[in-house]
This record gives sequence, C-alpha cells and structure tokens, in this order.
Amino acid sequence: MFEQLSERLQGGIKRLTGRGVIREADLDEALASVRTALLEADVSLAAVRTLLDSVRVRALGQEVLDSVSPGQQVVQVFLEEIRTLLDGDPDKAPAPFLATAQQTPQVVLLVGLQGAGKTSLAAKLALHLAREGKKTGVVSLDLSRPAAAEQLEKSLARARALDEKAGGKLVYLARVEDAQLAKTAKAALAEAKRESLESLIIDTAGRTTLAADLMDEMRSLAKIVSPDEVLLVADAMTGQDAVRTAQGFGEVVEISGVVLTRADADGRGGAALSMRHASGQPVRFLGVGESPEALEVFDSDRIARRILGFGDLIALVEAASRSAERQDAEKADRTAKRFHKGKFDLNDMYEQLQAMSGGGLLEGLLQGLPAAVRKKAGGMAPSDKELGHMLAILSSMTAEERRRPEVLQASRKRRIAKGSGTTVAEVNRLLKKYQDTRTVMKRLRKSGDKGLQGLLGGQPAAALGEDWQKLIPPR
Amino acid sequence: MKDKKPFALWRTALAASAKRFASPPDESLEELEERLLLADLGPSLAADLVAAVAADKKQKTAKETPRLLLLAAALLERLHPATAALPPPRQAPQGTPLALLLIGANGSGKTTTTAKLAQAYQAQGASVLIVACDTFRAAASGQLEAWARRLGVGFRAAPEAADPAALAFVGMESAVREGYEVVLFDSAGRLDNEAPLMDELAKIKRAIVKAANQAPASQHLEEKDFLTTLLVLDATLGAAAVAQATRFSQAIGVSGLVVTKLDGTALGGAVVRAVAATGLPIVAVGLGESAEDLHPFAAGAFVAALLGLEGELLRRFQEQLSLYEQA
Repeated sequence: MFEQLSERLQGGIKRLTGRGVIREADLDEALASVRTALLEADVSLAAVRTLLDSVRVRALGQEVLDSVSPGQQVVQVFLEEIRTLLDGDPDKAPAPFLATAQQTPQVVLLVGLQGAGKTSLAAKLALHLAREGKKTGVVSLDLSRPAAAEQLEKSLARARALDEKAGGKLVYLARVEDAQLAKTAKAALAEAKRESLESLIIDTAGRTTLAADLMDEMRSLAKIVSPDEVLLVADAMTGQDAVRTAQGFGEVVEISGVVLTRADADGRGGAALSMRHASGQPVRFLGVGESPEALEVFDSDRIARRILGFGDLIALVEAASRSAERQDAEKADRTAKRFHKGKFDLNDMYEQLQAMSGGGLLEGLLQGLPAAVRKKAGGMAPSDKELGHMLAILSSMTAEERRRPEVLQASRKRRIAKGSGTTVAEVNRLLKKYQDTRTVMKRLRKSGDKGLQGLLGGQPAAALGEDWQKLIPPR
Repeated sequence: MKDKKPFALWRTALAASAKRFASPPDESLEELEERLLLADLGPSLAADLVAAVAADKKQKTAKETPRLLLLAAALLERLHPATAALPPPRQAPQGTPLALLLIGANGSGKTTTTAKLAQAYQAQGASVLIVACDTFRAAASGQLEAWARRLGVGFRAAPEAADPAALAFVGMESAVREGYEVVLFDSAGRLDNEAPLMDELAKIKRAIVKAANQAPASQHLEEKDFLTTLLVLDATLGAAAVAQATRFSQAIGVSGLVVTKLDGTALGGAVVRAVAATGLPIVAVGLGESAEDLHPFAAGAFVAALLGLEGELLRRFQEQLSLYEQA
C-alpha cells in the first residue's frame, strides 16, 4: 500500500538531487510537491505539517557532507523524520505488545468504528497469540450488530482449521446473553479464568465517536475488563478522519496501539502516519488479507523506507534467497554473507549474471532499488542480449579488475571493449549500473542507527547467517 | 440542474442578501483550502475549488459575499448533477422485479445498507426479497437473516463457501416466480485490486440477468431494464474512494453510490472526488445503525456539514438554497 506514496515523494525530492548545495528556494519547492504527495496519500494535515517543519529545519541547518549530494541528505532526513513519526519519541519507546501485561489472563480490548474489521482481527490476533504458545480466548461483546458473535465463532473456527497445533490453544467463549453489557462482560472474564486462559481478546461493537451513549458504554466496559492493551482498529484506507477518530477514542479509553486493516489494498498508507501522530500510540499490526493468518507485525523501519522508495531490502533478500536456491550452495552462502556485509564488487555481479536465468540476485537487487535509481539505470532487468554483452564485458576483465573496478582507466576500458566485442560506452554503462547498485547498498547500510540489522527485523547478523543456510536446500 | 445559469442567479442573490446578515471576518484562501483538505477533498480538487473562489471573488456581484459561501456554491455546483433518487419498485404484474445489487469493499456497510433498503422499499408498500450473496464472510448470512426476520421480508441464502452467482440465479428465479417487486442482492466485500473477485461480481450480474430472462413473460431483458448496481462507499475513506469508484465501475459497471457512516466524524469529502472522477450519482446516504437510517442524498446539507457552516453563514446558505431550489 505504500508504493504509490513513495513514487510521489521521490518525484518531489528528485528536484533536489543533482544540486550542489541546498538552497532555501529549491528546498521549499521540493517540500511543496512533497506536501501534495503526502496529502494525496491521506497523511493527515497535522502530520504533514509536523513532518515538513522538522525536515525543513534539519535540512537547512545541516552541513553538506562531501560524500553525498544534498538531495541524498534531504532524503536521509526525510527517512529519519518519517521513522521518528512512526516510532514516536525514542526515549519513550513503547514496550512490545503485551510485554507489560500483569494479570492472567492478559486482556486485549478491540475498539473502533463500524466496519473497521475488529471481528476478523480478533480471530487473526488470537491465532497470532496462540502461535506464541498462549492459550487464547475470544469473546464478542458486540450486542448490537446481528450475528456478530456468530461471525467471531466462525472466524475462530477457520483459524483453528488452518493451524492444528496452535488451534488447540484457541478457545471461543460463548457469551452469556444478557441485555446488560456489564453483566455479559463480567461473566466472560469469569469464564476466561475458569478456562485458565493466558490471553483474552474482547471484540466490541463498532461505534462512531459522536455517539455519546456508545462512548460511555465503552468507557464503563474498559473499567470492568481493565485491559492490558486497548487496540484501536482502523481501515488503512482512512482519510483525514483518522485524526478525529483517533482523538475521539483516545479521549474515552486509553488507547495503547493501533491496528490498520485492509493494508493489502492499493491505498497509500498515509493512515499509518496520521494514526500514529494523532493517537500518540504505535501501530502494532497490519491486516493484510482475508485469511486468519493475514496479520503482519508492523515494522516502522521497513515502512519508512518503502514510503521513501528505498526499496524494500527484505524483499530484496528474499529475492536473493530464491536465486540462491539455484546456485551452488557454497557459493551462494559466500555471496549471501558478502551481501550482508554490504560487499558487492564486479566479481559478485559477474557471478550473479552468470546465475541469472529469469531472476537472480541481481534482478532481485534491482527490484529492491528505489524507483528513481532503477529508472536512472534504465530498464534494469537486462534482456538476454544485454545479459550476453554484460557477461562478455565482465569476462574480458581480469579478476583483479573485477575486484577493484576503480583501476579501470580509459586504456583498460578500450581493451575490455575490444576483447568483448562491445564499445567503451557499453563498458561504461555496465560500470554505471554497478555503481548505482553499490551506492544504494552502501546508503542502505549506513543510513539509520539500526542499519542493516534493524532492516532485517532486528536479527543479529550471525543468526541471519544460519537462516541463510536453511534457505539453501541441501544437495 | 446542470445548467450553469441558476448558479449565476445564486451568486447575485448571495450578494443581495449581504446587507441583511452580519458576516464574520472573511476567510483567507489558505483557510478555505484547509477546510477542504480536512474534509478529504484532496490537494488537487481543493486547489481547483480555491482557485474558482478566488476568481469568483473578483466578480463585481460577489465582492461582498464571504469566500466560504462562494466555496459552498462552487461545491454545490459540482454535486448537484450527482444527485439521483432510488429507482421505484417494479410492479409485480409486469413479471420482473426491480433488482438491486450491492457491492463494495469489506466493512463498507453493504449488509446493513441492504437491510435499510429493504425497509425503505417495504415502507413504500413493495414486497421485498433479500438474497444473501455474501457466502464468504463468516456469518454474513446470519446477520442478514436476523434483519430479514426483524423486518418481515423474504430471505434466501446458501451454505458458506457456495457459489454466489449460483445463489444469485436461484434468488432471482424465485423472486420472479413468487412475484416479489424488489429483490436485493448483498455481496461479499472485496478490495478493488482483486481482479478475480471483480470477475466474480460480473458473473453474479450475468446470473441475475439470465435468471430474469427465464420467465416466459420477460424475454430479452437487459441489465439496464431492471438491475441497479450500487457501490457502497464508506465516508471515512480517503483517496481510496476514488480508486474504488473508478475500478468498480470500470470492472463491472455501477449505477450509483451509497455513502455510509456519514453520522460519524467523517465528512465524506472523498466522495466528491469519486463523483468528479466517475460522474456517478449519489442515491442514498447512511446515517446510523437502525433500518430507518437511510436517507436521500441532500447536496445542500452535505456541503454545509462538509464546510462546517454555522451561525449566520449557515442561515444565509440555507435561505439561498431554498430560494435556489424554488427557482
């Protein structure tokens, strides 16, 4: 859902790339088009202002580094600010989901507008917790929508059918039918204790924040069940109303996190920024499909990068793993390790091109690159003919030249062109492609304090090495 | 209505009324833009409208008119062609009942709208059959069945995971056979980027048309003769409203829009963008959870709420609106 936003943003920032220094007028012009892009992506007006103000101040105040262009620097600032917006104050980083829960069972209360997707989410979240090994129950306290409880029961049954092992830990609590919500809620809590549940997920009726009686009802419900987490469930396609909804719910109950449903739509994902900004609480999960498994833990780093079009390094690594399967295990392992260390020379490129028959690491790599770079390099996935030329050029180089491409001066290039039956221009094009790839890889590694590790979901590099072994089938 | 002339009249009338109303300080163009953005009109339509107001303000007749009212007029101008009524029920003796198919994204409010439409047609004295073609969502038919029981209208459903097109066929067939005047087809929610699910909707439509033509008295009926397809749009949507309206109408054809959840904090401005992009009319709005909460779309009230008109400005707007509607 974030691709469109990222393309629009890049269009705005591109004006700055290729300039020697950041001039205020240039920056303002770039920021104006970024503002339009953000608004078109449904980012709330308030969040847009916060973001642009901080980017402006930081970008203008920053010393221009020699190694990167001002445009790149602004992109970097943007990335950091979007991540800050998504993560909140680093000093007040929220504990992981349910980490601070004290009581047994832990109670998760789901609230939101009508049709936000609370009931489907209840089943997904239950499966998620059951897979963590927790005996998890769900109960519907939606007394107004017809067949709401029946829907939850059936959704849970689907989750159970999907995963036999975790399914054994899933419990549907039939609610006591009572016109009074308070009595039903208390009975559900008692039942949860009798069942010795470790977690209890409570689904509630959808409500608009303008309905005072329903908001009062929610307030008293929260008092009765004293939840460890209150998740505000909202449609990822929500527009500016995200702010009013987040504030409206936040005034009545203590929201501890946000879940965005239908994040698999082609929406532009602005709601993630708006909700975070307006609620002050982290986005915890994304609903990404109709299956009970279609739940993703929200990763702000990954999203921030996608928004800015840095490509998605994880998708890239996945692509790499697919190509790795087709390669000699040992060689692939070496490439993978080098890749994780951020090393990538012409020898690697040569190897990848050789392995490339309809999708090797390089292609994956190129797919993972920002749109702008991809365009700049021009039709990155090479045709068979181009591939042949590229291989010819690379094989006309010495191993040393491939290891240290910087030694390639004009006379060497002429020799290589002659040897491969190509032209110096083609040699240069190949080197350009290599440079673009390498630049972005480096930037990906350097940018952000968490760097590559953060991007890969916080796994230490060593553990990743093991994962890589697993990804490659034994011969 | 599509004629621009009445709006010229409107502007003159607005100017003439200036002396009788105390106006708050005029808003700047930036403030107008902010109102529009906060209401999900989107940056490009907001810019268009603000530019239109700026141009209007330069006209002699509009000099004294507050910009906010000029904006309200400009918005109304864009929305007026987009109003339409629900089709009337077909008379049973003619053979084929009026069929309405409800489509839209998950959670947009199709099922509740189906129930509300059943109530609305029933209140007009029509006999109504509901066919629960959402065979996917857990307990979707249970939800509709409860509504049908409550309202006392006919109801057909199929087991979960059954082919919705097959159910639509059977539903239409029995509606014809049993002499219903209105038949409502609910459908499963789907996102507009799911091509196979769009095809499924087209198939449901074909099934309904085919079944209608089974009746001996009604040969060669075409879709437009009796079938109305309503896209249900959630008022809280942002840019996705435009994508949904465009894609659903391209993929399967849509006759009109129903805007739901306008009783909440959402102002529904994205619907104006959807209307601008597709030219589809808004046939009804949902303003609550009970069966009676479906209303005809009132462009004036919608605009007033969207711009947050209040006090003197609102009274002035309303006065001009009624004058305009008489004209």
